Amino acid sequence: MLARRPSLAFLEVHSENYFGAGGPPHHHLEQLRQDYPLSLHGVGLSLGSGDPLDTGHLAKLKQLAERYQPALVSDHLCWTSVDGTHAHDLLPLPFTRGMARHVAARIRQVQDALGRRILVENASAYVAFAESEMSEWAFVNEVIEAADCLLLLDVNNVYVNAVNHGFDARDYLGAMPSERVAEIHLAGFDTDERAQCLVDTHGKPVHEPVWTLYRETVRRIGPRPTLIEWDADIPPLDVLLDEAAKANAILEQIDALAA
Amino acid sequence: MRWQHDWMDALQRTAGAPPGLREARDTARFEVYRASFDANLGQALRDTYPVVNRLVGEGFFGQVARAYLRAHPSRSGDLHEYGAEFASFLAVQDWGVDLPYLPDVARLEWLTHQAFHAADAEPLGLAALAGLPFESYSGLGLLPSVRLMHSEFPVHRIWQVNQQSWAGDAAVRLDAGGVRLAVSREGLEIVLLPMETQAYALARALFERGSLDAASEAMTDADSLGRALHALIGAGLVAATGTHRNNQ
Repeated sequence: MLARRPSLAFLEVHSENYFGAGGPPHHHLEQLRQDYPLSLHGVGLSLGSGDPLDTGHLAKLKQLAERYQPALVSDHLCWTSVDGTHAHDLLPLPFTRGMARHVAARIRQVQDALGRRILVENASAYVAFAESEMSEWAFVNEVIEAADCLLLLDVNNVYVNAVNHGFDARDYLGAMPSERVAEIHLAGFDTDERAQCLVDTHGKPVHEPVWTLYRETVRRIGPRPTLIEWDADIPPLDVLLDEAAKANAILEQIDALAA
Repeated sequence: MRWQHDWMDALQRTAGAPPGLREARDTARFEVYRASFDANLGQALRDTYPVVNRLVGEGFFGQVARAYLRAHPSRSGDLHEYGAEFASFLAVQDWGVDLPYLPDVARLEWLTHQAFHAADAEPLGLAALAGLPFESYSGLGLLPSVRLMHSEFPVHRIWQVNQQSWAGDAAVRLDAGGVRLAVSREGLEIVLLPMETQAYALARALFERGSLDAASEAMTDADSLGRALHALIGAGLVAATGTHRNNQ
């Protein structure tokens, strides 16, 4: 990346990978930041946890945002910790009104601390909760309205959940408020034969049905900054750049149609 | 939220799903979460302890990592903080492997991990020292990346020959004896510096007390203080302003 500086609209990094004070991670990110807008994508705020919000974690994120002045700051609509013990996995939430209020209040708390709006990303889920009282898309809507935050729409996660839980991905995507969608994620999934479900592994090219849903989504809501998430079995840079170019071509097509 | 405790308990067990899932098939699907819990944290530990991993082998490391995860689960949303107790965990458990130096190798790897992420600072050179007014000497301290350890084993050598980039002789003579070691970062590179007793004693005092002012009493006389300080500065371990440590 540093040697080639390919033409890309922005870069995204995991915020927590830069929570250290110095060393090679910051050395490289500072150089890249000079040439690219940056998105800080967190995995550790544990927005759906029953614990109090980790103010130490939040303070580090704030410091990082001050240092790098990112265009976007995001985390996930999930929980990752309980009683201070962290699973470091994006665990699902039951879709209840109570949970929507709980997460929304915590998102507001984060936004107040950072002094900016954040994006929350819809997560993949392999199981469903008996106590859920609404669809996932109704839940997402309720959270982002109550929190007055933005949405990082992961089209792959919508597809994975649609297959896993038996709903139509178009019902979900059609219900996403276009004015709140500030970024889109695309990624590859794997199939777990034993569990008989799709798993959001970020270790494969984007699958064809996901490209189709992506095309339909940007046709409806307009172009959005789009990221290819590939953080397991990372391929050569050219493979990644090809995927990014494919997304860009779709965005440009939509732009041309709109013009 | 009781159900989150149930989930965490279930993740840490070897089988079974938490209550409250909707469908019968969800029990099988919960395994995806347990597998990724073990895999993610196992990989994080392997990334921090590559030499231990190489010494014991992938399969065995995986077993130890699963046991460690249950004994010392992650307590931070920042995965880089995971694994701090790994060396002492290795030391108190009998793993049935005859590698008496393994806990010390782990201890060294944790220190290199800390040095890697520590704040940047310019080391003070001997030439710059000459230009410092005498009053400033009291403020001298270690670079933020410096960590220290003493081992009965030649851990620096074990570490070195187990780096992927190592192309030299891979033999380690365990009877070569122990080492007093400073771990540091020069630019982007981790360096290990074996140290003489006096210089190590001063470095230890600087590490614990912050500045030369407070550390100098650890030395017996002005001469040995001078020599030890010269050695530390020559090794590139000293900063002009006692950046204090213990906070990475």
